[in-house]
Amino acid sequence: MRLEKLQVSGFGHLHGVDVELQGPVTVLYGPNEAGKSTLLGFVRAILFGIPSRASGHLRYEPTQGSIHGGMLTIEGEDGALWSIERYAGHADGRALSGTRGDRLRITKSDLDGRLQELTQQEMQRELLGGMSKEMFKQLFAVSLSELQEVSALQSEEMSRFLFHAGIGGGAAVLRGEKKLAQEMDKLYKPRGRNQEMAQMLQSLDRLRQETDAAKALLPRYNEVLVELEEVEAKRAKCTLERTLSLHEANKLEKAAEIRTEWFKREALLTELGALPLHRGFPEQGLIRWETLQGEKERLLLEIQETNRRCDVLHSEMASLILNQDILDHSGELNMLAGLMPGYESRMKQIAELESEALTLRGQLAQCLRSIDPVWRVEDLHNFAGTVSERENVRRYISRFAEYDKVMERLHTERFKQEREITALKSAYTSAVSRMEESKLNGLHQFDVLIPQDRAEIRSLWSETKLELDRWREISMSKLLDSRATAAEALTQDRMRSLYYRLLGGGAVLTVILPAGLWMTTGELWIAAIGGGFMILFDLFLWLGFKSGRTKGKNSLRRAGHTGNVSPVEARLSTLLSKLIRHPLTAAGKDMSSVSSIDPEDWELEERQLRQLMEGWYLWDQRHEVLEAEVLNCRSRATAAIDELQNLERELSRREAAFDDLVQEWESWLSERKLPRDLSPEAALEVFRLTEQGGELLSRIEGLSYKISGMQKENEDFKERCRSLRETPEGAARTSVISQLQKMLLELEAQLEIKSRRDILAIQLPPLEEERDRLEDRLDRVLTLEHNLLTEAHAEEGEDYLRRGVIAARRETLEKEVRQCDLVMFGGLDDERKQQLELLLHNHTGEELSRQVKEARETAEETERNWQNLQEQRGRLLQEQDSLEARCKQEDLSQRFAENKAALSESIDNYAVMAVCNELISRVRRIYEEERQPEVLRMASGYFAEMTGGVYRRIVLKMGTQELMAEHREHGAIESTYLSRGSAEQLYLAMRLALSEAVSGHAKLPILLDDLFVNFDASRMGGAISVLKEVSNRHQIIMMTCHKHVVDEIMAKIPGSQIVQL
Amino acid sequence: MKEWDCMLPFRFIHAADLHLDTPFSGMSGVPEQLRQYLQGSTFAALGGLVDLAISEEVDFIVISGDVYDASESSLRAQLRLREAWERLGQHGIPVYVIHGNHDPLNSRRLRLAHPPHVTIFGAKVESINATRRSDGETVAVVSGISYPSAAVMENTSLQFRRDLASKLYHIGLLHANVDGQEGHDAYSPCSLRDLQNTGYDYWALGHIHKRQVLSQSPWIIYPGNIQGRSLKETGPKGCYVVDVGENGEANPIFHELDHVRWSEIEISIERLLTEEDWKEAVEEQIEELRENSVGRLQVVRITFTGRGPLHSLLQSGRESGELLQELRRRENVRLQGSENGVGSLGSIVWLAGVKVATGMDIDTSTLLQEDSFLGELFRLSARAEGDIELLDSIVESALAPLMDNSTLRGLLKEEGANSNTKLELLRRAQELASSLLVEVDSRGGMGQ
Repeated sequence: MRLEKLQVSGFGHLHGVDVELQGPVTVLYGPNEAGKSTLLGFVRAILFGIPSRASGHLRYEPTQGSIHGGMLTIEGEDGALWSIERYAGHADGRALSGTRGDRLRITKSDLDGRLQELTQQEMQRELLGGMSKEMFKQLFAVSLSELQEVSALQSEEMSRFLFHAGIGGGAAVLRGEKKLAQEMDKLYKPRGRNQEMAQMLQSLDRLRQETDAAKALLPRYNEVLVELEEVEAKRAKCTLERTLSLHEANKLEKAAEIRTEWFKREALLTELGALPLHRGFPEQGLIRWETLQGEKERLLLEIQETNRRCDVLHSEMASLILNQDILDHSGELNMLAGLMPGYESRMKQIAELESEALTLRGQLAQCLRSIDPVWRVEDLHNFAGTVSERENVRRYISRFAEYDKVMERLHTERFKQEREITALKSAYTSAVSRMEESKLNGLHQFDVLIPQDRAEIRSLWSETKLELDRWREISMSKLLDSRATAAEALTQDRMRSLYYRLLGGGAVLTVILPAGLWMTTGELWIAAIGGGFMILFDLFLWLGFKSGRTKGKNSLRRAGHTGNVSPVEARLSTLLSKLIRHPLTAAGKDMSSVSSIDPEDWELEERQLRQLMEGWYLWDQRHEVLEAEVLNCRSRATAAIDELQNLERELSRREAAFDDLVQEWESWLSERKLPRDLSPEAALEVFRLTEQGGELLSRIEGLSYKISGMQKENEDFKERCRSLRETPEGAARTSVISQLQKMLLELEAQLEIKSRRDILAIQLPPLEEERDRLEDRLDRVLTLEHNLLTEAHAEEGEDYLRRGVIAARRETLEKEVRQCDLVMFGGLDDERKQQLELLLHNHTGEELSRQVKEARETAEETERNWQNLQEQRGRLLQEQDSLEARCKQEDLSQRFAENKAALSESIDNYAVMAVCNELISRVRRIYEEERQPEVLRMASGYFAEMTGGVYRRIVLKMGTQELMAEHREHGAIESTYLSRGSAEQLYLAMRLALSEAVSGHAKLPILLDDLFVNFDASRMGGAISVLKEVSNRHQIIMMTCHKHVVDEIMAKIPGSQIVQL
Repeated sequence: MKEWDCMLPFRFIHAADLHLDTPFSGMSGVPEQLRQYLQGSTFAALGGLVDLAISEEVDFIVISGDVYDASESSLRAQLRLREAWERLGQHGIPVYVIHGNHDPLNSRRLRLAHPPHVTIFGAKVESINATRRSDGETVAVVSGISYPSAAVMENTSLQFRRDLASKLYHIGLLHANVDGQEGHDAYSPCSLRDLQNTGYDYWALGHIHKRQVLSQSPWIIYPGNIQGRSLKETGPKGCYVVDVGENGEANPIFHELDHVRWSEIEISIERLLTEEDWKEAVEEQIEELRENSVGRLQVVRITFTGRGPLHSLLQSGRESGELLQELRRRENVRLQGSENGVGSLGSIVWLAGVKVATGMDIDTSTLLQEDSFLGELFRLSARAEGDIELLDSIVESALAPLMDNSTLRGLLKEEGANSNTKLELLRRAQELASSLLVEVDSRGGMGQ
């Protein structure tokens, strides 16, 4: 499209201005204030509406307050002519926003001359190709201020023209990059100090230093080891030196110390040399000599003493005289003196024993008399009181006793047997009478029964019973009560009488039994118990009696019916006829009459019969018992009689045997001269007496034997006394004892003298011996003395003593020398001793003390050295220890490794991000460089042309959407860093390119309001030549106030229209 | 081929790579007590070795290098080693030791001379007759060679040669990388064939920390180290007790010595929908480990894998960090408890770290076709995967800021600058980018 004509009614300060535009390029040339920019505003306003009052000066309110607006005449792409007339509504100044308030008339007359009125929207769409007001303002109606608005290029609307479809606006990429950069910056920045990695690096460096220090431990340890070795070697050497110097110093010191002693010794040695030399003076010679002399003196004295004592003893012994005769008999005398008391006591005993014998003889005579007056001592001797005799007598006694016992037993037995026989006989007779009575009774009671034999009755009755049962089954029969009652009463009466009897018996027993028991046993309690039992028994009987009565009363009825079945009855009647004699006659007494047609009678009869039979059975049983009892009694009676006869026979036999026994006993007595009437028991008493007699006899014999023995002994004693000394005056018997005593006294005196003499004799020999011994010792002493003299080479005692003194002096001196030696050289070996002596010989006192001082100093020096080394060694050992301890604790290497690991991790993270960043930036460069959008390429072309190739192209940085100009030499430069002119050229190129891209089918005119003010001549030329090219497609309207611009345009574009305003 | 009738039976221990007093790597946030325990664990394992030697009444011990890390220069390691030697000496158990790349002969060592029962082999192959403790009979020839310096590139196995006249059992001690195993420096490189050709009966190898028996005739064994110290050293660690019978046949039996056991578990987030599910899954895994514990402290790293809706959540790192803290706090309580006598260290499962290797729940193949920023990014990283130069340039320029710092530079170098780690980095970055961009996408609705 192209603008044909601008008719300004009122816009700014323009009034009624008409501008006709011809050709592709029009230059509106005029001075400032000519209205160039106003015209630009006018075109914008007419096309898109007059700006509201809020827009301020852009509204271009007419200065004279006339009509605000005008008309544009435009030729469309298709050749149609458009006229757009627009005036601001309400000139009174009411503010209206937008274009609605405008008075607008848009007419389109196409080539065919059709006139058409259109709305603003239709116009914008058809004519302007949908261009917005903003875009038009930015791209087509551009003033300098709009040119420099970079943000316009960043609007969303335009970006799609700028960038490649694939990346959108690049904002995502940008954001990604930004995020990466942030993260990376957090981690690391070159030369940054606060980033994570920087801090890690710092701590790592610190640790590294520490680790290095720790690594120095090993070399240090090795050094310490070396030093230790060295020190050790030095120390060994030093120790040696130390001992040597110490030795030397000590030696010298010692020499100085012993100097005085040494002098003393020298003096002693000289004196020693002056003493005469006597050989072999005996050791301790003087003392020994003196001791010998003393000993000699003492011995001489002792010998004299001993001799004197010997003489005294001899004289004493001579004065004592002994009676040898008495002494010879001393043994015998002593023995007799011992026997004398025995003699005297025996005399007494003999007298006692004789009196005792007399008594015993009296007792013996008494004993014999008590046996038998005729008995003498000889009889006593003859009587054999042996054990067998005694046994015989005892046997007789027992035999007599046995006989008595047997006889007694037999008599009692016979008596018992006789009583029993009488009792049995009475029992038998009573039993027979009871049986007879029972038999009679039975015959009388049951005379109705035909058979006499009891067995027969039983069999018949059992048959009858069978028939009766059968009969009852067929018919009911009745028994007559009365008959039955009668029969029953009879039995009842019998029962009662029995009970009465029993009760009576019981009562009698009750009284008698306890009494009897009491009498027989003598025990009251047994009687009481027995009585108690009997009372209980009576009570029982009485109760039985009472119940029997009641029972009897209760069973006083019976009813029976007799059947009317005739065959059975016939059988029965036959049976009965066999059993019972006269049924009809008997009925009056025992049974009811039986009629074959009356069952009741049958019944009655049957009952009676049964009763009869029951009674019979009872009787039968009782009778049998009685029969048995009779038999029993009889047999027992006969047995008892037999036994009695046996007993009688036994008795007579025993009596005959007893007579024999008496005979035997009498003969035994006469054999032994004993009285015949003596009983065996008395015979036993004789045995005891004979024993006693025998004993007395033997005692008498013993006594007489003893007496004779004693008398004999006494005679012996007297004889011996007499034989000892046949003294004429000792005839009297009594004098034996006294004589003996006198002799004994004499003997005692002699013995005393003898003992005294013996003592003296014993004393003498030791004295003599002592004397000999002393003489020997004296000899010995003399020999020793002589020896000493010879040993000392002395002629005699005095010479010996002199020599002794000299020897002692020598000894003293030698001792002192030894002491000096000991003081000086005590504990030293020979070598050192010689060294010391040499020193003392060769050096004066001063020299010595000087040397001592020197040696002391050397020693101290070496000591110090040694101490130093010792200390050094200690230090080193300590350091070694501390090194070992330190190395065991440190954990630096591990910490270093950990820090390193942490750092590596960070580096790794950083590296990933960095590589990512690099990738993104590289891809972006691809986009920016290789896959550049069309617009930019075109703009680059324009820009290069404008700048004459100084800038090669325009680059749009992704994301930031910042334009960059690539300089031929300096590379890409951000637009903000470009010079004002270059920047304007860049923006112009961009706008031109964009307007091309945006336009599409509607090629809008481009209005440029004095854009070249900052261009230099060549750039302006370039720009104009660009515009010339653009004008091929777009109408270009340029406003300028510069003559050179107009000239340039004229030169470059010859056909351009210049409109002077 | 050999006459064994004169063989005497004996028993020895083969251990290697004690790495005494080397720190545990890859763990951070360790509480004091645990640190002490970890620090003591190599010594504890050494103690266990000594105890085992005593209780099994072995005739001698061979240790195939890397007894300690010279770089750590730990005096403690040296002193403790000495104590261990002394204890063995008290029981009359000889030790034959070679030095490896970590403790070469020229490294710092304790100046004290070794006790007589410890034999240290020199830089040339030496052979020593080993005797049986019971009767002093010579039973084996032990040969070994130590590293004179840290890097030995020569094939030292060629120096070993069996004395053909000897009928004794031959044991070779060598610290070497056989057949160029990856992940370890190719020191003293040799081939299995080289070792087999020497005619030795038992090759006591060291250097590779993973236990492996390379050959049974002759026996060629890496016992592995005695205590795992990082996530690269998972599973049971210990030594071999080798019984050599009268027929000359050896029977090596592995004995665990470690006091801390490393393990790595993977948890896929594919089926996990909510944060609770995820926490539960983690706790479940930990409890399972605890239940299966064999009385050893366990150190564990959890790697989250798979593609799932929780990816973005985990990617931010905050939740996993919180969970890590919480789990560590719980273990810490246990730790305190074990200190006070309640429970044991064996029940502790310490979480060394959490690794998020999850992916966005998206279809990469369609994304690769897509004309979008993310599509372009995936295409770029796909290109970089195949183009090492591009990969290097990406990683290098990304990490350029880190390179300013010497410490970081050093650490990065340690981490290993090989293509695998770079690729890994690239993949993780790609996942991060996808989570970042898609996250925004789902929020802002500004996508295509």
